[in-house]
Amino acid sequence: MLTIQLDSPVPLADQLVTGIRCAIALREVRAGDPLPTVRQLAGDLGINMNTVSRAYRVLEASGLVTTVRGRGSVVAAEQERPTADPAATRDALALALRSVLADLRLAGLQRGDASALIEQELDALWQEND
Amino acid sequence: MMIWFDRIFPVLMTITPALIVYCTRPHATAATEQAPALARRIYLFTVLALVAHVVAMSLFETLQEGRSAGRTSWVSGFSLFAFFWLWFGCAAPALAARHPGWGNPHGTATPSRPAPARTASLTARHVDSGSMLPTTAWVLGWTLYAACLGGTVWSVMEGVHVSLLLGLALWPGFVWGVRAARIEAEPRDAAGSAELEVAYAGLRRFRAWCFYWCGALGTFLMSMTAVAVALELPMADHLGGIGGGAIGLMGGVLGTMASLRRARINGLLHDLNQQGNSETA
Repeated sequence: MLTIQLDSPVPLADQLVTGIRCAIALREVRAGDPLPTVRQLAGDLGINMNTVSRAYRVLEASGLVTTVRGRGSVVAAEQERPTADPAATRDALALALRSVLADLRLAGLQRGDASALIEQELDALWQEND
Repeated sequence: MMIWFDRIFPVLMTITPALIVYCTRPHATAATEQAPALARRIYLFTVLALVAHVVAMSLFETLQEGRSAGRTSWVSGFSLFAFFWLWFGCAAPALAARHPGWGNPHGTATPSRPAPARTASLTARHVDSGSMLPTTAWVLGWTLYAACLGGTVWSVMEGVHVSLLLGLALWPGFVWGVRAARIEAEPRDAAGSAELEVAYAGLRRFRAWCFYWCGALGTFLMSMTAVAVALELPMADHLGGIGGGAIGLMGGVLGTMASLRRARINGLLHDLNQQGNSETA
């Protein structure tokens, strides 16, 4: 399932990208699985087709999705294409993680609660057979 | 026949939108505050349209006493246009305000009802063979089409009017409809309710079968008409008219049934979203 919030300050295309990335990370869709057509997803969510197209293009650029003529968009890989500068990627991820941790602290969570929440999300992403 | 076209049909057309609004019960939680006012508006305009129709008919009948009925028909035909104003201008907003099934399936945000989260399935329905028709149905359909193609082409070569070839476009058009039925908007609730999934799958299958039968029978009837005309059968001229009318009626009935099923699903989606929101709160 893919959920978007219309009243969120995050742009809809970014929410779609995040949602589909999560679905791939959680193995809800696997490499080779077809994704809904732009028309289908836009209709189901009641949003503009250009928004869905933009999200698919971002996912294609990251190597997670590819478009096959006659088949539509397909999950290409379950991992993103390695970047030219792995160190820079790691720094960017660390920064993003720090931002999330800061959000947890600013929300008033104690270290134990934050840790439990992070563990819960880690368990969801890395299941037993990974 | 003239009584039907001049007096009964325009009146039926005029009152139909108001009748549909009247028969649609306001939804317990989704009906908006404007719903009663919008309903009153269509009842008022329907009465005005009927009065205008009766006055115009009486006036023209008095003026053209002893003359041909052509002008009266023109007046009654003009009155039929009231239907479109009543339907799109009054009935559509009134229905959308009364029941979520007739409005936007995604729900409309208002100050008292913030925009809900929208959820969709990541299942690609354009490659989903589960909602397609069985292979035997397709084999039968295309075999019938090949027979119709042969019959119609033979009839045209025998001197039947070339326009009857248009009937052959019906089946491919409806085949496209079967495929298009799979990607019609199917918004989901946040919890991914199985009940909703089953309802959507049922509607998809129903629509696919509707397109299938309308396409197959329509092509068959057009082809039979062409062959009957070529063979100069006595009832050939009636076959096209009666058959075409029957197919049209069948399409209308099936289309209405599909719309009602869709309205029920939209209502269910609304209820599931409300339930989800209240649980979250």
